[in-house]
Amino acid sequence: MTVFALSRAPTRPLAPGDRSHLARLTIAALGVLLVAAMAMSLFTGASGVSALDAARLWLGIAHPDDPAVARAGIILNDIRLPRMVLGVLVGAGLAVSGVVMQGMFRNPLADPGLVGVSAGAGLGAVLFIVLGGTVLAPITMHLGIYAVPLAAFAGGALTTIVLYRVSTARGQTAIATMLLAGIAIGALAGAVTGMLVYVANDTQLRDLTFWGLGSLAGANWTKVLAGGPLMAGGVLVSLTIWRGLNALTLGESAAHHMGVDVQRLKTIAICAVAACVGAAVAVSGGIGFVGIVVPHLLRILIGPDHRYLLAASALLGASFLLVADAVSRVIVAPAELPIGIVTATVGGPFFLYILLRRRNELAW
Amino acid sequence: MYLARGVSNAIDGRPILRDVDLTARPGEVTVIVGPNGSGKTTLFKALSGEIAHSGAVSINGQDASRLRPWQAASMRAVLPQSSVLTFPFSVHEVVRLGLSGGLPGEDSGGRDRLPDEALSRVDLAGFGARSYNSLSGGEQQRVQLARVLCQVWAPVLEGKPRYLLLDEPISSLDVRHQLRIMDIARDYADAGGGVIAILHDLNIAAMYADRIAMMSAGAVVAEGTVRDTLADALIERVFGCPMRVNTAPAPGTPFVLPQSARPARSSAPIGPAQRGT
Repeated sequence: MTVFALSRAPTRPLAPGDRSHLARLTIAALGVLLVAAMAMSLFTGASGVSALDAARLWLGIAHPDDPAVARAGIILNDIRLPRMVLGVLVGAGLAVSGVVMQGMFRNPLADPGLVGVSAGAGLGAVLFIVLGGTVLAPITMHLGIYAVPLAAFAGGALTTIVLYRVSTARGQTAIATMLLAGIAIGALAGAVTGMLVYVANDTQLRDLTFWGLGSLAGANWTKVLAGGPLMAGGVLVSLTIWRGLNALTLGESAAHHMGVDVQRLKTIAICAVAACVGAAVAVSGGIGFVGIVVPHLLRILIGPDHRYLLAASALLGASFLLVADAVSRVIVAPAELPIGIVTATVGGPFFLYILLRRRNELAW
Repeated sequence: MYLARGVSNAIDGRPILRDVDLTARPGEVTVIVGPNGSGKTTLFKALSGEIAHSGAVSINGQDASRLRPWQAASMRAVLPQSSVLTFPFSVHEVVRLGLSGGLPGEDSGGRDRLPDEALSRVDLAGFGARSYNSLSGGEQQRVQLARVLCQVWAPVLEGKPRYLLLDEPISSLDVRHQLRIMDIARDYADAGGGVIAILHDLNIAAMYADRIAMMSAGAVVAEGTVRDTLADALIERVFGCPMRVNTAPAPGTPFVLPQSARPARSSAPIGPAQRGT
């Protein structure tokens, strides 16, 4: 009987409805875009150091004793380069954690910032910023520069687990419950953070205020070293779970039937999200909406297949954050706008737009 | 052989399944019938490894509870009653999901063509580029069947039969597609695979089943061939309404005619003349 034999006919290049070719093209284009955004990030800023200076400096053309070149060297190597690297990591981490959360909750509105995960991570970070030198000093001593990112990671993981437990029953996540639980968890984390701010000293307070608005302004190589491994690890791990996230879009039972170890997948997803969000929050504060704007745009363009969506989101998220950072540096130069304000200005209206478009589908 | 032996379970202390035995042989379509609340879906979930239960389920002699999810996925595929998708998948992309879970066949030569082939099998050729969420319920159910078929496309893999588990596969379909889907199940069994399906339509069951397991109050009360199980008295007892089983003239399969339990309506028209009588 041959009814269920695999056809040996030559493969047609593209079946109708197969967007994988488009997705691959998009990923390539986004790679080019990211390179451009990285260049722009390096060569924009209040100090007027240009691509020409960089070329002279890095190619060794200029005379090393030239004071202008020495100045350009400091600005490029110690300020703009770590800032660019941090922007790439934070942007990619936030966008990818948005995709993973949305896949895990089967809900396009799940964003770490909206459902309290960032607030939980923020609480962990603030805990160590304020008490790291006194009560928690023994732990800080052991963890060094990694204390704040790891505390943020723990806070993010804890809030994600609580959120999942509250909003998911029998493998189904209720959208309204998830958003409301996120508000409650976020408020609780915010309240505890507020208490910590209350006991903070003046220097800590200044740090906290800038940090809370979200900014890449304090970028340096120490921050890259402290948060980089967690964010890079979180993104790379996320890229490997595309099959499981795809299956999960059909629901937990269907994913199980399709051969996915659902419990294991959820554990990996929660750790990846907490690593990305925790480290991002620790080094750059509360930068919102990247995790919802970027994946949503890409789903419209290349579809929801996680095989491509995760990588594309990482690339576009990184570019988006670098552009937003450049805008924040230029728009009120020589002063600087916190980048969180820029992303929220774009993201807030965008979120409302999604709600309006989906109002009829989201029956809750 | 897909076997359930002494399967029992309880939810909140209330027993749902009581010591259920079921045997689904390769080459056969095994149909589970029974009234609402008789435990069909719970038995189905025990077979597919979704719920905890006592007793044993085995697939081709292997204890199902010891199989890793991906091992089970290469031996059986499960069609749920309905599937809601929140993300904007195209029909092709939904069907393709079935490929990543399972093992379509022994060589992967025709893998890329399989989604298209599965779609034409369920009479949805040319629907690949449509948005899944824009389809009707019946069309979505057929797309899901195409996805499930992709997972276990070859009914026999490395000499071992594979199984399709179908939970009310035709409940939202029109007559033409009910037959089309059941024909696929029949073909799958004829090619050496096994099929376990929950059906409500006793006549479709009579047309396609090799064996029928009739459930009532969490137990299998009758199990056997169509002629053994579809009997007036048994159906009346299990479903709680009068039934007449007859034999269709052309193919000679039994058919079941439900009889209303209400007293027969008077044939006289109800009109003004009857007022005041």
